[in-house]
Amino acid sequence: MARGASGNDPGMVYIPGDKFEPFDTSAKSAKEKPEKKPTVFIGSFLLDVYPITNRDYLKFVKGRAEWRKTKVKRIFADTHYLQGWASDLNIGNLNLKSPVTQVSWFAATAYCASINKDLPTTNQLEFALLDSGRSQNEIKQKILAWYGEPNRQKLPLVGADGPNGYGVHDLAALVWEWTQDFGSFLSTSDSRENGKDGNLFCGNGSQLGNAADYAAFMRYSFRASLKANYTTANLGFRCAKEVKNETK
Amino acid sequence: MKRNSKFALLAIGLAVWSFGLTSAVAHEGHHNAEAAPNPIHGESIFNLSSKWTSQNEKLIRLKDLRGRPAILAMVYTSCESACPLIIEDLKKIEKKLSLSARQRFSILLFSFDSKRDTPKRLKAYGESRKLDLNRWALYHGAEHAVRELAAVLGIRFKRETNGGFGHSNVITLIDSEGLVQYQQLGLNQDPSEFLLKAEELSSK
Repeated sequence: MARGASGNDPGMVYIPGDKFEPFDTSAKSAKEKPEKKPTVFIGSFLLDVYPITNRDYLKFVKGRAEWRKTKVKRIFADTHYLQGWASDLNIGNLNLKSPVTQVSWFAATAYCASINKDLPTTNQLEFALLDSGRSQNEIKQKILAWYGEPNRQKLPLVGADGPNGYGVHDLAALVWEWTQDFGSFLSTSDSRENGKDGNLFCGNGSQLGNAADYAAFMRYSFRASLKANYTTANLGFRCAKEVKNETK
Repeated sequence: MKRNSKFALLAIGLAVWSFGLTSAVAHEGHHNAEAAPNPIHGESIFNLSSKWTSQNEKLIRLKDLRGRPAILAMVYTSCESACPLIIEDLKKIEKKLSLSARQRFSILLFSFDSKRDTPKRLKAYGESRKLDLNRWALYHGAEHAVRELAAVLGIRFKRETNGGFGHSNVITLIDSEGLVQYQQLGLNQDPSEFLLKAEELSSK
């Protein structure tokens, strides 16, 4: 079906740009100027329909030896990198169609770069999740239910959840996902260093407004807690691509 | 606690983050300044392959800095508040180092601002701040290079809508093999701990 199909790359969907009110900035300026809601403009972009799977990642490390489990440099990935894999080119008991996890930001960045894509920015990923405002309560409930669930022994296959209105799957409750600028939202550590206690709690998350959106609060706080070589069992990624020179 | 380890990392991450970056990791025995043919250590920032251009239009990769310990920071030239203070902190460190250490270290500034901080502009900035460009160098890199370097140094930054950057203020000490030996977090800090580490490193 035509909705969202990206033409060249069947694995990606087109997401038309629009105004967007990021969760992090909306909070801050809502305090300063409640009458003026800050918005940014998100340019149109392509986003992977599914998170990157073990199958995808296996193909990547076959071609790129430096990203294999036993070869990766420690500065780029911690010791739990690809923990569930049996060896460099063997995914062990994992499912080829499950999202790859235990990958660092560097690994995810290198993967996307290898196919001429980028990690999505935080704004792009959040914008896709917002889905033009469709079913937002449902999405929040789904995310909160996922937070409360015990970790699954094996991750489900990609595609189980969704698609959303753009045709994107698994944005809400399969894995956390890396973003290009995962640590940026609290970056004004100037304020932190000035010793405002509020900023020290929860990666500045507590400073964010709209406390009612606990799901968003957790996403931003989680991302802010990461370091670029961290890997964990619930953290995967997908790729994005800016659409340039759009003609309308 | 196994029940929901989705949050385990979050908790650890927040703890690490809120204690800042001051807990530098010491890697004894890894720096052989003269042993350039050795492979680069797995935790060295010299593993980054991105390219940077100096204020003298010299194109480098970080590994070209191998063999000399360095003090480095990330700034941008149109920054009005924090960056001049980082420069002052760096100058303070430079001034307080022993003569032998001062001669041994290079002081490197990497710009956040890929769009505006051209080598020419960096050079003008260096001159206006009266930096000794025999020892100091200023580098321009593409956006992905900036992101990578900030990521390995644990520096958070964000481009603001006005074209400026919010960023954490970190001064990093690396040995001649590119291993982070110490990080001073925040502005206008007492540099004595940093100096201690730097002198230690210089005397090895």
